[in-house]
Amino acid sequence: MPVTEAALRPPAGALPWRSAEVVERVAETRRATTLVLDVPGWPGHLAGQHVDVRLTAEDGYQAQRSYSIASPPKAPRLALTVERLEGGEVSPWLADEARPGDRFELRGPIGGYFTWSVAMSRPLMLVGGGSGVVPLMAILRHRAASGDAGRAVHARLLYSARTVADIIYHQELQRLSAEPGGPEVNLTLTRERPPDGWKGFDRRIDVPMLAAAGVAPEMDPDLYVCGPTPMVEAVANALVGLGHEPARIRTERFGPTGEG
Amino acid sequence: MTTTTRGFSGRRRVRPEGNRVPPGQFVTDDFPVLSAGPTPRTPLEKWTLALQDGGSLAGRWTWEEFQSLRQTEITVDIHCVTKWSKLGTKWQGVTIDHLIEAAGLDEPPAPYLMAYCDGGYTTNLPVEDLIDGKGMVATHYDGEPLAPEHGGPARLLVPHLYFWKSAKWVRRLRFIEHDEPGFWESLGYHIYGDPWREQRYAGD
Amino acid sequence: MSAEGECSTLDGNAAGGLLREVFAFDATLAPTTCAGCGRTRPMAELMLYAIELGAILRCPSCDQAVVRIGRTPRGLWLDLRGATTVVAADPATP
Repeated sequence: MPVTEAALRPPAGALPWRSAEVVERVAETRRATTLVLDVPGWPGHLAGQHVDVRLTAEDGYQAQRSYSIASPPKAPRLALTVERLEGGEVSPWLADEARPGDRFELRGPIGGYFTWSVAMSRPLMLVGGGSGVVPLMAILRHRAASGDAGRAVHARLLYSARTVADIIYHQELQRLSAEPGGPEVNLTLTRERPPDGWKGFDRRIDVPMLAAAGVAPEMDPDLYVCGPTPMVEAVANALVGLGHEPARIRTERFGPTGEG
Repeated sequence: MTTTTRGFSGRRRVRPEGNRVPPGQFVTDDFPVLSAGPTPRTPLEKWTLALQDGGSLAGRWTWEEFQSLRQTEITVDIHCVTKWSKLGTKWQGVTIDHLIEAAGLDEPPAPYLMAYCDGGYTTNLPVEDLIDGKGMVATHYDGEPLAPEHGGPARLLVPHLYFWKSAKWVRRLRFIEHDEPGFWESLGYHIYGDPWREQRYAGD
Repeated sequence: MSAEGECSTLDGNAAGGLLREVFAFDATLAPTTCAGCGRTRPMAELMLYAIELGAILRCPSCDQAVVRIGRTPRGLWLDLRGATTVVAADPATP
């Protein structure tokens, strides 16, 4: 059973809907956009948490979905990274339409299960597929912002994307991994032959890849797996098969969208 | 208090003029799937449909026996409590009238019915709302065998009530003396569910 | 994250906002014991269905509906009969 430190327990009480204003949009990839937001009264959050977003059309029709927070706890502004789903209702508006000055409703932070704090000192293994990398990036950004305590945590990320062009945060991940004490980042492409000089993998995440690019079970790491549901389930099963303790594996399923 | 989101319109929908569609509904071309649990996979060789009068069995049909009962085709509008209406949907199956007849009953033995489904879903209805052609057990949609995610091999179809009453994966229909709330009715949804009186929730 | 398809593609994490309307504690973390098979898991690990009407959280081992919530404009209806126990306290607290 995942045990959170008392310091990590999110505040209880009702979660009001708040007005979020778009301050900036950043194109991450052809499908993914980061929205930097002003949210008056934002109570703060833990890395890994998400928000519910609610949009209202002129005739009163509403649609609501959940999105992971990309920004770390101490960032001056809240940021969401949204990947446009073909045929989606909310993600196309957030990823393609939302512009500075636009407002929408948001509530959060939500979820104390899929959270990480530098106070958790075990080695850290992160496995993400597609937009599943977003909460893992919040975790890595929090680690990077935590000085020596962050660097003391042995961390590895395995991130699966369809093509090079679909790797969200590619440059930032390269920069982070190059820093002293930075995380080890392993990438794998699932839909494209890798370019020349590619140092990552090129297939769906499988047992040998997890064994090679992961953290050994003997190190008793905390594990986080996030992305399309079939990928999350396959990876979680594989990790248990490799000898990881099921109680240490935290999963967040994003739905049926295509593989990472 | 909610605010309108600039530039957001959502899924394509139409609110038609006049009285074709119940209040608060939008018309869609899609057929959204809404399930309370995983899609059951009962093989046809194991499938049976039972009709019960209280605790005793009034009729039971295997898939083959069920297919050989008198079939009826209907074209109807359907209305989901989530505000989607779909017009002119075509179904084929066995009406509750013909099921009652096939079980050798002259008339329904009790005023209410509870439907039980693979996966544990239930819903309750007055028998009045199932007879005289108002309800059927449907096995075909749009000319094809009913897809599993839409309730196949067979679902209850009661189009004049909100569609949560058209229970997917139906396996047993039990006549009962007193109305009892089924799966959603016991979670705050309306005990009857008339879309024309917008009876979505308990107390409406 | 949207719920479509044959079996659930979402888990209790996606019901986090709704659960915060019901419980005064973070239920996604709460160890919850299934009345069907007796297994205990955080609510985040249950399979989530019918998010359009509320939330139905099912045991991934035996499909029992552990937590059922109906959302209505006049309130949330909660049925916890599918759970024998939900632990609300932070286990680290003495």
